[in-house]
Amino acid sequence: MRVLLNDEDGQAIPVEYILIFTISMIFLGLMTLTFNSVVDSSSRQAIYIELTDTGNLISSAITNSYLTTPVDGANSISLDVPAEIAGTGYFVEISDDDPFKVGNRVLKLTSMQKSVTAYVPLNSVDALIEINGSASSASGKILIVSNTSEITISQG
Amino acid sequence: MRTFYLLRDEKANISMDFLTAVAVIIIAFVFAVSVLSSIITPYSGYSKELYPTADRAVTLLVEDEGYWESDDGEGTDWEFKWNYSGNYDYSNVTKIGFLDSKETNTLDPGKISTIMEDQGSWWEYPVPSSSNPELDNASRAMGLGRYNFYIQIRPLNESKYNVSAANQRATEMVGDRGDVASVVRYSRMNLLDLGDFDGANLFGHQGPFKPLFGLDNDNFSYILSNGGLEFIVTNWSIIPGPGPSPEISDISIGIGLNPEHEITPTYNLQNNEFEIYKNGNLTTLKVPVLDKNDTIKIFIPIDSINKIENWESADFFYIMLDVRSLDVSQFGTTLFSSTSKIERYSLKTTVWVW
Repeated sequence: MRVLLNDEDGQAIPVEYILIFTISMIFLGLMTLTFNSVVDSSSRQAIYIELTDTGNLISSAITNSYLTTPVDGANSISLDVPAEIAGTGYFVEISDDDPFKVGNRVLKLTSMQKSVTAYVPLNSVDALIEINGSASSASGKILIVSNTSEITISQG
Repeated sequence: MRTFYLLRDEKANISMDFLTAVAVIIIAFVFAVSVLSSIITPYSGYSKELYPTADRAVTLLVEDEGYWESDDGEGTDWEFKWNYSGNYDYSNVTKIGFLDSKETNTLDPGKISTIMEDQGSWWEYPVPSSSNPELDNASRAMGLGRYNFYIQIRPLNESKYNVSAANQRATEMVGDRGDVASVVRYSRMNLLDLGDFDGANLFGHQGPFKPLFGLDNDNFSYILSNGGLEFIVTNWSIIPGPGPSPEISDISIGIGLNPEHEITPTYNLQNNEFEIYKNGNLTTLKVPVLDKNDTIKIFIPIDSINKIENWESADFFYIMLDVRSLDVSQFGTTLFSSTSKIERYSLKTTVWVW
């Protein structure tokens, strides 16, 4: 018993080095992983917010396009959007995937690299007129063309 | 003095203090860094989308006529399909909009009254009595499906309504919430105000005399906004002589006329299907009109008007009085539009979304 309590001879010095090295590596690894995860999480959050902003910009343009479409003729709006959000491009499409479960179509924006998806409501404009199309952000412009029966979005 | 400390010291075990300290630092670091991310980017995006969503919703509300669609057809007169005849089927209304028509660019009082609660020249929605199915469908058709919302429409002229009551309701309904977006739109509304009819100048069927009143389709919103049709006739033209005593004996309604200007097919209203007042007193048929200055007010509620199928699609809605010894001056229809005047309102529509 006395030996167990008072014997301070642990292991050989190389083993101590190995132990300290291992603990240091684990500490460093944890810091690195945590940092990466924080950066990734913040980046995804920023992308989501920017996609939501951009989606609302497009959705509002669709609403305005619908309301200002002439009775005979077509309306064409070329909308400036960011070509990249947090260093990555994104797709815009009119989708039936309604996460809000209200039975309406939505604007779906998907980041190309981070797999972040944001859904923006069209506020029931799709109940008034057919809305179709998709576009990539590559050119920094989205074209919204509307006539009395349809609104189409495409790459500008 | 120990030499070759690193090489020869064989007391190599790590202190428990050191291990504990390292563990605490690691845990603290991981916690701090993970919390840091939510401090840097605190927004979920929901609060940022409230304003643009509310903006689009209210824009469509005051700048679009709305839309309904079913197997029977489609159109912009959704107010006649929303809970039509109390059947609680709202699903045919795909979009709610208050615009009367894009030509006039004014709000339709009938559309407003169909869904919003009239609180005395100002309107609100939802109200505590709004049913869940109605509220769900209204949210969907207003494009506010995933949000909580409250809408008020007020006249810009504050003398026309109780401002403090409207403010109080807004405070009660919206409350002191964190993330609330409110958007305001200004518009105009033309409200039909029916004038009194001059009994000496009534049109209708002659021989026997039957005064005939007609409300044209353009003014059907009056029925919706007032919950029915109400009109007053004064200055009767009583036929002198030994004939029967002057009276109103029957009231019928319909949407078609024969060449003699009689309603066909006709629906005779029963006493419990309308209200008739003589000189301000509620009475029942038959109503004697012994004095030319007797004021007769007739109110036909919308439930009785709904007895006529598809009245909302007709060109005219007619009311015919069966009378004795009361004169009809001309053959034809006494048009409500001949006595009506338009009251023009400037309105403020506010939508709160959270």
